[in-house]
Amino acid sequence: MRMSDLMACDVYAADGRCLGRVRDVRLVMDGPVRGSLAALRVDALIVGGSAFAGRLGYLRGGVRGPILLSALMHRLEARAITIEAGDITHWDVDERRLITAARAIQRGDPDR
Amino acid sequence: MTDGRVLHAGLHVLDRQMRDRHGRLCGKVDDLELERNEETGAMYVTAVLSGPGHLLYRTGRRRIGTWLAKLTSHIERSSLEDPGRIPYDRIKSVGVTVDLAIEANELATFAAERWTRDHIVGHVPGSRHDADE
Repeated sequence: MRMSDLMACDVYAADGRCLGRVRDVRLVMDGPVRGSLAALRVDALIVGGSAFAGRLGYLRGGVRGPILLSALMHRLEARAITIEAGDITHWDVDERRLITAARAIQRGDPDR
Repeated sequence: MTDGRVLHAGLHVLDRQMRDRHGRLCGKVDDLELERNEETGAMYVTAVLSGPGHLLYRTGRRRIGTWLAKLTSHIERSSLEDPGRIPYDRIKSVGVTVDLAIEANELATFAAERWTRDHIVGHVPGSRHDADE
């Protein structure tokens, strides 16, 4: 599987409701050491919201100002949700469809 | 969340500049290969994908991207099984740049230029010496 395939997927709740497209993937460097680095594990998917705000670094990139722009970008991203990779029950990447059984969905900036 | 270093694929890894073992620029991170561990169910990054074929694939031109990546792999002489696929254990660090423990000329990034040099420009009379010699 490729990251680009994963980031082209839509995520659905168990009841069939579409939660949005995968906008980014949170990776954690905590796996077994391979060469010089610990393996990068897929930890969570950032789903929905505005891709624009994320790409400018206003959320996961730690950019905080100017304050008006920051407020606007955080408002845009408020619709984004973070879904733990372990909560994805069905990975149908060929059909670009992931299904989650997550009940508690974390909204907004996952790192704040 | 666990204690390991946290990176976001789209923000911190994709499109980052790569440098070879001598610090020479050698392309960008165009995609990542993922593999699921059947025992734990966790998914890990197993390779960095780089080169025009993988970039085309990522931008939605999947068929021609796959074809171009195969073509590059076929024409390129490299110690790597696939010059567009850099195994994760050949990555030294991930920061502002992605530093590799590999030579730039083993990668697919400039494969077309190298092929053109070796097979076309190299056969043009006078191409074997510097212009000012």
